Amino acid sequence: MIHSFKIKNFRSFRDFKFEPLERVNLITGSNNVGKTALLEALYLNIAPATALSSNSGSNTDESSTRHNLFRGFKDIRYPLDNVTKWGWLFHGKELSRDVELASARNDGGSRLTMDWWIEDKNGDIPLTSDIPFDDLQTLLLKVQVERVNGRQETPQVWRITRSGHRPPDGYVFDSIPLRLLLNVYSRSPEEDTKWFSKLDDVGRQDEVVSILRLIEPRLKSLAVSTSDGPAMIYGDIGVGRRIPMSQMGEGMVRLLSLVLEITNASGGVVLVDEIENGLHHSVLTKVWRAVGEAARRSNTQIFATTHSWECIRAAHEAFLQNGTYDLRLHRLERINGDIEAVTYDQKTLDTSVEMHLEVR
Amino acid sequence: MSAPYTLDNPLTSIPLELDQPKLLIGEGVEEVLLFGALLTHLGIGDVRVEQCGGKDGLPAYLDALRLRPGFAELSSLGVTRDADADAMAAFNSVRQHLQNRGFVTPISSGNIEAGTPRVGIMILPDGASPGMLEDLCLTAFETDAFTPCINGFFECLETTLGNPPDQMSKARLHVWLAAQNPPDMRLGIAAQRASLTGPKDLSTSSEPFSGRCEVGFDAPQKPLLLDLFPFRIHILVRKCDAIIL
Repeated sequence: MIHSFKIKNFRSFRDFKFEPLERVNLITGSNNVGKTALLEALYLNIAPATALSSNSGSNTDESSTRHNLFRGFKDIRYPLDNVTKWGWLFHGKELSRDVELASARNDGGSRLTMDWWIEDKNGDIPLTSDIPFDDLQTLLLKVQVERVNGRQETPQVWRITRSGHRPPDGYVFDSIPLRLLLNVYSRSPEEDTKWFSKLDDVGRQDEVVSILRLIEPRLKSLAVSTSDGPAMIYGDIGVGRRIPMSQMGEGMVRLLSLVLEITNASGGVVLVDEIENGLHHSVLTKVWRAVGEAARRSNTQIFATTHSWECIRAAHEAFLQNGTYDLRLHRLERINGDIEAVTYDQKTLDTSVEMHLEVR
Repeated sequence: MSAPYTLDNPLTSIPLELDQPKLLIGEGVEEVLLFGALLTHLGIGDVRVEQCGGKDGLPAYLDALRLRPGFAELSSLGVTRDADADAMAAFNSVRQHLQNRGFVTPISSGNIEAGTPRVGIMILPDGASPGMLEDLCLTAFETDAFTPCINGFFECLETTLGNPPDQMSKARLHVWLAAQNPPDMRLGIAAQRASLTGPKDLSTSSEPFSGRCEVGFDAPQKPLLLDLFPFRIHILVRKCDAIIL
């Protein structure tokens, strides 16, 4: 589990510490304060092999990354012919300041850096701020990942230039599993079907069903069927025939997606954008109990954003009921020009909820 | 002034925001309503009043306060508390809770200490005597025409039951309130009702508190009050022709 995360010079973060972290981390704050950028930074640090690869299937064509998923782009090609596009990732678009994203886990950690170079036949030359690099043909962005997992591993380097995107030599992999649940594009039922089937194949259906029962106590079992066309998940609630999950309401579908992502990211991390979306306030406490239970069972860590007071209150109440209070609320706030995380533990969140004090 | 001085249902209202640069903390809802009415009457609009849920709730309240959105912009913080049996012990307790959380603190009740935020502590009723908020209010009512009736009531009680109520000042105040119209107002609500009309109106109106007294800050000039607030809150009870409770 990640217990500390540090960001330097990435998007709106100049020098940012995110700690202490818990099993479930709820992130709040006003608009445009960096919540999505924080999820992006976590994504890049935890799963660089996925984030820096292309959905198009080729890693050697134009530079392309998936981290733009958070901005509503499923895939975007970024040839390095325009520094501005990659400059978005640098704080204040000052390309001379290196980006650094560092996570610390109980069993290791990783550090990702991004910096600019000039390709030269005699070797790469660090870019200095006084070079008008926008028009340079030889500009190079290096993304380097160093991991510590009990032992120091050889750093992996992605080289991004005008001519293409070169991943590290050899097999590139993420150190821990990472799953995303975003709202910027519609989630397809096929995705849930695929992940459910993977769990069902190894006899883990009950883990999902028992959690969905918190919202729909009549649910007996789930099954994948193609009787109505494409493969979909159906539920048996004892009414004679199975019902497509999509017909059981948005809350059930949302909880199913959440539970599937948490369960499939066993040992890793799930990033959830606006977790309360699609959920009625009356079921939020149950959903949080379910999320907490699934996260503990799968040893998954969750980072979720929210704007909802009801969602925060429900999470606090659910984790109090759980007995194990492994929840932290973090509010991102701009203080003296820099973004900082203000973190609530059980006691301070309890007082705030009890006295109805604003925390967002 | 924003409207924090109401008995909102917390489940249906929006969470409480630090929407003013100054914050005055009372023990309970009575202080919120009464201080709010007083500030409204004085036309002071840059002070927010909140309760900490009783004297035992102050440490947890302060811990949460330091995390709240807008705390960094707070310029002044005032903490009031009942003296109960020992005004000095009450002051030291509040001071210690503040110091433990990094606040600068004044050396005595009624004083302000410069800092970020500035901090004032006021122990009720007067910073030195035992007692509580209700004692402060009672002194405003002591020359009422029916005060002998209230005295007689408690003398009768003592004769009949053999012992006075545990919190005599609260009991006396509630009897006084029961003599008003309507008879079932709590102190803070009575103060709010009275503050809805200004002193000029009240002096000639038939409002229940008309012609009674004024609870005000010791500095009569508004500019001076604004300058000092918070919190040289020597809340004084001054006799006058109109109630501005």
